[in-house]
Amino acid sequence: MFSKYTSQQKGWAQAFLNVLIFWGMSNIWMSYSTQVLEINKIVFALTTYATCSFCLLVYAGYGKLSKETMRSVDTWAYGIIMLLNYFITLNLFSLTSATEASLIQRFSVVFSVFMSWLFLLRKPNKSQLVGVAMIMLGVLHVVSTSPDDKIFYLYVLMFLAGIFQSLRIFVAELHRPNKKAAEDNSIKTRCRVIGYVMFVITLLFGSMVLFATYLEQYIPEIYKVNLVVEFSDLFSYKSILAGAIMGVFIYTPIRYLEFSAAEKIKTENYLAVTALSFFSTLFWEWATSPLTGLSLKSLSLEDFMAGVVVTLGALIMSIGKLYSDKKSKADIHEFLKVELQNIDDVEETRDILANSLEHFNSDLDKTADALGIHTNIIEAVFKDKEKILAFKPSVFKNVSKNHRRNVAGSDSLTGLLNRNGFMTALKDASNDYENLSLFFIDLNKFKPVNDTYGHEAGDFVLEETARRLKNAFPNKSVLTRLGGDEYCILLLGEDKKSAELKIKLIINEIEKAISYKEDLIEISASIGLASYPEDTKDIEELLKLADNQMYIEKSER
Amino acid sequence: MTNKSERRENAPISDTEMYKIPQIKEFIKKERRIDELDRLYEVTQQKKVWRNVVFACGVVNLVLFSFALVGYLKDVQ
Repeated sequence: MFSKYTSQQKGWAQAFLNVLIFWGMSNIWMSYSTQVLEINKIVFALTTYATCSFCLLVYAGYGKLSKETMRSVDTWAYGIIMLLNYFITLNLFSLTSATEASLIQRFSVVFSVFMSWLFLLRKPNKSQLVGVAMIMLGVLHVVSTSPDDKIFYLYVLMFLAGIFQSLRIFVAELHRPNKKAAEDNSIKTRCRVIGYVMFVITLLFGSMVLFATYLEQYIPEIYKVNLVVEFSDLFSYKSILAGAIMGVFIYTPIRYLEFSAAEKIKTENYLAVTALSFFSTLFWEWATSPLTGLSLKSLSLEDFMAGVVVTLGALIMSIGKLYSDKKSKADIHEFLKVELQNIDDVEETRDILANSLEHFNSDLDKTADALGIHTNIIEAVFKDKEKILAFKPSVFKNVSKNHRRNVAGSDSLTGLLNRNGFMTALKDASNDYENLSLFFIDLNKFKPVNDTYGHEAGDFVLEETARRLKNAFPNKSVLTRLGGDEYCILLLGEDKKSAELKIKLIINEIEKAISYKEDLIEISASIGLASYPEDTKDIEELLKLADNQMYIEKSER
Repeated sequence: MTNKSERRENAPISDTEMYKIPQIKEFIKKERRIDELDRLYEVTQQKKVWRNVVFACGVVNLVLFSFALVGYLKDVQ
């Protein structure tokens, strides 16, 4: 039924559905539960998380990152922060209308920008500063015009919500399984990881509740604070049912749609849509007021205008970020000069770029990365029909250094050194180390891979082999693809005896089946080993000796 | 120097396929190479963690709903 729509269209639809329907409903339900049903917030939150985690885990099924998430200490930190954040949010929604509470929540953006600048050194851009100013203005207006008896609590909750909401975002960024799940690009994996995190919170909440009811028997004074749960609250069927409705029908779809939309349209686009949450909450609060009895009386025209300002601020930030990401190109005047006299400078600039592009099969991004410049610099040079643009002297020095290292001496397919680069590295190493050992590796059964699965698969196998060798020898080694299916590993400072112990590791890495699309490809390798100075004192002969050893080994197979 | 690899009776399978195998222990008994066995054991461990957590989570939910039922019955009385 939906197959005629593209993935992007589905992503946008999911983002709008989430923000305009589920977010709005979530805010209304929290207000209704806390203000009309007068639920116990802790029991409500416990049930929300217990039911939501169960639904997410059942939906996701078994798969990757289960062990990792449950064993990771980060999961507990993530869980605790989510728990505190949710508890603060519930308190906020119990004090004011859902629409105002959703606006006050936006104060977290101010903290996020401030914390990013302070701890992550991400300097805010103009649109962020304008957005932050508008959000601060709007939110402070809403809080300052609240009833006098609530104003102090609202200020406190505004700051706490801001701190914990931004902390939640930061911890989510640092939570390793969550990061891996995001890289995996699988909605189920992300749901699974969050399901586990929520289960951890459920355990934490459960223990807290039990501890609180235990305390009740011995220190009844604590309940004067009216913050923790009493034993009788555990049987509050209203809290449990309201929490279950929140967990199953609101929180689970919110999570699913958030992951699915972000995966299809990217997180920054999704965040731009979330700026509209004020209007969705306002609409649902108004539309459901005959049923819920929730009043919008506290929302004056001025508050509404403040809401519009906050929404505009959030939109400016999100759209500004999108725009700046797309346009974050380097200023060409910082890199290039107009050269009318010295034509050699222009030609050298064009030669380096053309050579690098050819090396990376016209891949602009790879070329720009290798040379340490932005893609628009390359585009500008080749769009220059008059041929007058050249690198500035200081830039040229860096670019030609990067070219020597990353282009002239490197293998474009695997990123390892090529033969030229390797020979230079070999000579340098003989000056710096007393012992060197060189493995010459030739892949077996590689030709049938190309014949059976095609050259694309062959390239994939070569890249994967390089990746595995790099992972197996991350330190004190120099790796190269000499050409075709021949690789070399130079171990720095290792004699023959210790190098021989590494042969098994190389064989294991290469013989592990390589997963390519729907197929698993198996290859093996013949390996020759020669060491300096045990086998030869001539460094240039080392490669030849290792090559000969490899042929002897290959002919024995 | 290199291992003379023995021909295997069973074709290797991808990770995605591994998660779909219903009787994984039976499957492991078939001739499998060491690297594939590692992956198969990984799958069984991941499954076990998922089952345990889903079970524990289900129990927590059941306890909560039984509390709600008790609370409701008390309220009605």
